Amino acid sequence: MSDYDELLPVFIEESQQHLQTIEPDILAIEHSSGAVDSATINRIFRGVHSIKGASGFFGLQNIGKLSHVIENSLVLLRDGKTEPSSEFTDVLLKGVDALRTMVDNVGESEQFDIRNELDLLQKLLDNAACPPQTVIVSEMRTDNKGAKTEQKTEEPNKFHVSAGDIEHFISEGLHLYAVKIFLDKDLRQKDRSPYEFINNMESFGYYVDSFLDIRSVTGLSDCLNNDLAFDFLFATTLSPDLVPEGLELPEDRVSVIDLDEFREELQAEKAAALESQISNLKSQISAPGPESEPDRDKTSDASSQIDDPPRSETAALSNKTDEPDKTDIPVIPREVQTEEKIRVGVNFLNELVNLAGELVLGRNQLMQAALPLVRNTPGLNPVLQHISRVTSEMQEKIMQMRMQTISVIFVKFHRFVRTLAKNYNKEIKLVTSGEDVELDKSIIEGLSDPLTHLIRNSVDHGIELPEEREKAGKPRYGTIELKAYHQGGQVHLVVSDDGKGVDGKFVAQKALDKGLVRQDQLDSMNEKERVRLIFRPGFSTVEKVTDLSGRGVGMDVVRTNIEHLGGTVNIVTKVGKGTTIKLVLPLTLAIVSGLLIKAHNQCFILPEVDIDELVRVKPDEIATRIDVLQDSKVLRLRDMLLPLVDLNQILGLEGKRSQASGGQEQESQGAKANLKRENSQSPILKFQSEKPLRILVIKHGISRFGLIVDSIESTEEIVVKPLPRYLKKMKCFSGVCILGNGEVSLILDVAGILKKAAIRHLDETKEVMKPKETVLEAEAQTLLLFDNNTQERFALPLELISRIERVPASKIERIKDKQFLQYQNKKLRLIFLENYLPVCKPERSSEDIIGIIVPKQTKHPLGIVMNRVINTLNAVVDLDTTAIMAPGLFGSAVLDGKITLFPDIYRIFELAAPEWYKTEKAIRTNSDRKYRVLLVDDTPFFRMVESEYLTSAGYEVIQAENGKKAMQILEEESVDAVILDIVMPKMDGWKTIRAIRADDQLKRLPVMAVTSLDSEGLSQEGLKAGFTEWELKLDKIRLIEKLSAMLNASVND
Amino acid sequence: MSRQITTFFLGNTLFGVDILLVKEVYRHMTVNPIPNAPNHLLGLMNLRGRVVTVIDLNVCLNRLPETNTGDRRLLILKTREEIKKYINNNQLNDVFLGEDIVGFLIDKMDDVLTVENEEILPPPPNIADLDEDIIEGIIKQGKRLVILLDVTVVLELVMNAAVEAENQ
Repeated sequence: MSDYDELLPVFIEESQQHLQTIEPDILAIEHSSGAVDSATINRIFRGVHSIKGASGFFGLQNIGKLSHVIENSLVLLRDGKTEPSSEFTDVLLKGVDALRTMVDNVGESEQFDIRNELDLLQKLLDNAACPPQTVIVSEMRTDNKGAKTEQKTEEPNKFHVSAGDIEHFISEGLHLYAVKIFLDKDLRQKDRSPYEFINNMESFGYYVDSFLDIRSVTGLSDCLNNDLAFDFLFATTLSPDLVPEGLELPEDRVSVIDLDEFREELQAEKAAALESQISNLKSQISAPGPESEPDRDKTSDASSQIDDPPRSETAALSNKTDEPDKTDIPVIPREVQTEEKIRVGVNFLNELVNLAGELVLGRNQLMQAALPLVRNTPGLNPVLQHISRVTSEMQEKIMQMRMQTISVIFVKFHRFVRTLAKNYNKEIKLVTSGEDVELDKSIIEGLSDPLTHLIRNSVDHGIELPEEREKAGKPRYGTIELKAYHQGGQVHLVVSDDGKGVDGKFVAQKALDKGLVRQDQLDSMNEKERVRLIFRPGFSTVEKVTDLSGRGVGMDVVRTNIEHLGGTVNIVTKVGKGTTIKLVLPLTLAIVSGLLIKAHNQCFILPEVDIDELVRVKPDEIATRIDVLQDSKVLRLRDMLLPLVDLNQILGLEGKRSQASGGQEQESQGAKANLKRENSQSPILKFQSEKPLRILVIKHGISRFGLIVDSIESTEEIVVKPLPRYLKKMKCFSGVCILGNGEVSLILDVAGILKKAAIRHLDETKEVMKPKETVLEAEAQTLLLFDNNTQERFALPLELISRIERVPASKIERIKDKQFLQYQNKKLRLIFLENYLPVCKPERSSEDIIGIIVPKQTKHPLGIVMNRVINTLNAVVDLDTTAIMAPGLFGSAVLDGKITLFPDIYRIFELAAPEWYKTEKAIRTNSDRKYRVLLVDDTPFFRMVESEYLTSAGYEVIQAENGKKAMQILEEESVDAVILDIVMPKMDGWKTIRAIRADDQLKRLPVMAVTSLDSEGLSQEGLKAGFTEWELKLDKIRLIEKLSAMLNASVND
Repeated sequence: MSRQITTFFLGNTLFGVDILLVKEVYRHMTVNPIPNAPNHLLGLMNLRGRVVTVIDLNVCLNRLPETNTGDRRLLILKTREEIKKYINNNQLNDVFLGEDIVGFLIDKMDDVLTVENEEILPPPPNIADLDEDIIEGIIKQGKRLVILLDVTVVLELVMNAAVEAENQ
């Protein structure tokens, strides 16, 4: 039976395709309620029909039987004999499901129990007003001298035709033919597939029934020797002499079936049916029933004409009655005009994608090589341009071939939602849009599960019961919207419902109960972050485990799946209003964005999805930021200790590094940089210190680690290719790709690297972390580095600077011993650092361009003169206040390997213009106790500066580096006022002020915001949030003034 | 039935592979090495947009390579898909090539021989310090002997070695 083995896959594939379109069509019919679209029914009909027909070829009786019954039910629908009720649709869908299961497992289809489905469908048929009868027809053999041999026996090799169909044929003036073809002789030898044959047949007629004649086959050997005959029944308008020609068959294979005997019977029946129908109508009709009879006779005589008279007659009838009549339905199933398509294997396509990529590469090389010749070669340039354009276009088109519309997965959700809603007694409408959005095939495949889950969630958790909804003043039926659209080169998928939304508090409590978070973690979370807890592994909100959702795996799986596809998930929810989940996905998976990195001069790709952040550790920071813990290296990153993995070591490239020379350089460098720590033990430091260390912070599931690489080259859009099988066991790689320059590069596999590095218990490192180390918790700050062309280098926090002006030195005007500059219609008093600080005097001539630093927020216009700006730098400042001391100097720090001075500009202003700055000492009122101020700021530099200001003004200062610490202190100690920074890690100023105002004890406490966030609206918002004052960093005078005013006010309160 | 055999040198021994298995002979090569890979996995190469795993046949067969590298070539093999039809038509024994393209690095190409099946003799034991599994047969060509390689076995050898390397 090897013939069949080749054909069977084609059958399965085509049948599956038919089934795919059938389902949405059935649902569409249900929705159309009443006004059944005949085109849709016909489409379903054709689909089932083809399956039935082809199943005959393979002797798949079960499939044949079931599709046959389904077909019959559809006839009822088509002829308007039944309503597309919900039950009807249910049964049909069940039938289609069973059909699909059988088609998917053709081998077992004969053992499949379809009695249930058959029964259900049969019941439908029986219940219908006019049960269609199956008529057994047999061919009227020409060699039988025209005598019709009507065999009424239950022989299997008979055609089964529903009476409705025959009626149909007669009314359409169709002839019925029995056609016999031999699989080998007629199809295989002519290189036609059964499908082609049927398609051809359907193009000019109507295929009715078929069976495989296996009477002549007695055994397997027979099968091979004998040609199998395939019989089918075929209705067409073509006259007998034309049919064989049309089917490309010898004439003796086609015989005519006599329809006369059915004709009379049917006409009587039909007339009766019509009559009964008409009598049911309230309107007065002048007996159209009898009229139809002669008409039908006429049409049956006119053998090859489509009958017009009955149609016009019934049209008249329906005009009168406004009742859809069965004859209204277009009866000749017309082929829907579709673009011709060719089936192509995915492998073939992928190869084409490869070649296209290679073509682009070749094009680029060609362009480069030919460019010098363009000038001297007339006509070359247009040719190049042409090739270039065609190449790009071709690549684009080829990439498009892998694209599929998202409707492939959208369609199935209509059914899905319907079933689910029914199970839950909910009323839900699914609205989809953007079905034509195209995505790469692989992404479409990967989307199905997450989307199913999201929709299931919406139905199960989102939409309330109809009664609840009515109580809440919403429409009874809930709406789930499934939307796809393009934005910014990505595809956005939105699943939204108008259900009850997700309650952050509830989620938080659940997460707490399940031990997913700790209370203190929860406290510092806002509503949005709490809702996001549903994405944590092991989270499921539903009390009882249902068969639909709530199996403990949930949103985290959605998230991982989507992230696997290179996408992101976002949730927006409002209690009582609904939930919107947005998935953002790349257009194609084949192209992945990755970081090109180098380890020992070899390029590797690390997918961007895996990367959390990039860290650069400068040589002089290595000692403080990288530690060796139990033989493994760790990086201090904010409040975490991150295990470090050296890529070179993992890939076995380390041995080739020249350690000796590197070590020497390290020593000299170490000495220069004034490293405080003895670090010759650390192997990293040995070879890495002369260069900054590049660390990629990688996330893999819940673990994070740092990967040390030699350099980071660029980001690349790469086409991922599978790893050759010879490399499959090499766990560190997940695939290969070809880079823009034609080189082959390996794609690193994060999981494999982790495994190889044997990093365990990554989470524990957070606990290992020493709890109190203020320097570590410090945020880096941005500094402006400048100098006066002398040895000394200065730095000022950028936050203090309003702007920098560059002016020619000649513009400076001198009045007595003071220098001024006209600036924005003001006289800007200029301050020269060298006059107040112990630094070298720079040489300035009047032709020089000098820089003026204008600080923020000074009462009086003042500017600092300097020669040039070196750079801005983001760094954590470890300020040393003892080594170099002077009035007007905060201290010094080593930045970029150089000692840098931090001028205290406000102190300098005081020194320079004492008349403006009468320092107000803290005005203590009636008590001896100093006012106690809690200073909260994450930046140690500001903490130090402000505390310096406050102490000098006579306050007692307690410091805290974030809101959480501050709250702890406030609980334990009493303070008179709080100075609060806004932007802080862990618990920011906003949360802190809310916490303060929420506390009964503290709600009257004066709290001043001191921030570098400079915006009118913000200060308003700040006052609204409960701040007593809102001040900008870092004006000492105003700070002190406001503080004392604030304290006075609270005392007077 | 006659077969065509591509012959080539490794050192000074002549080897052969059925020509139906050979996709092309490639000269220009930039091979990107694979870290942690066993010695005979030379690296990966870009062949018109497809990735070729380059295997050093000298290492595989335990021979010393020719010092003159000027004549070195890559013998690019077909994939399983590409030889399917030959196997179906019995033009080839069942050779398993896999889906990835493999290139054998060899020292020097030689002629293509047309031989009758009868001319391919079974491998004598202990020939030329090679494992006899790896030899499909011996062809006597005048005074010269050609060792016909069993490509399936060679590739298996490579696979297993790769596993061992990773396990170490």
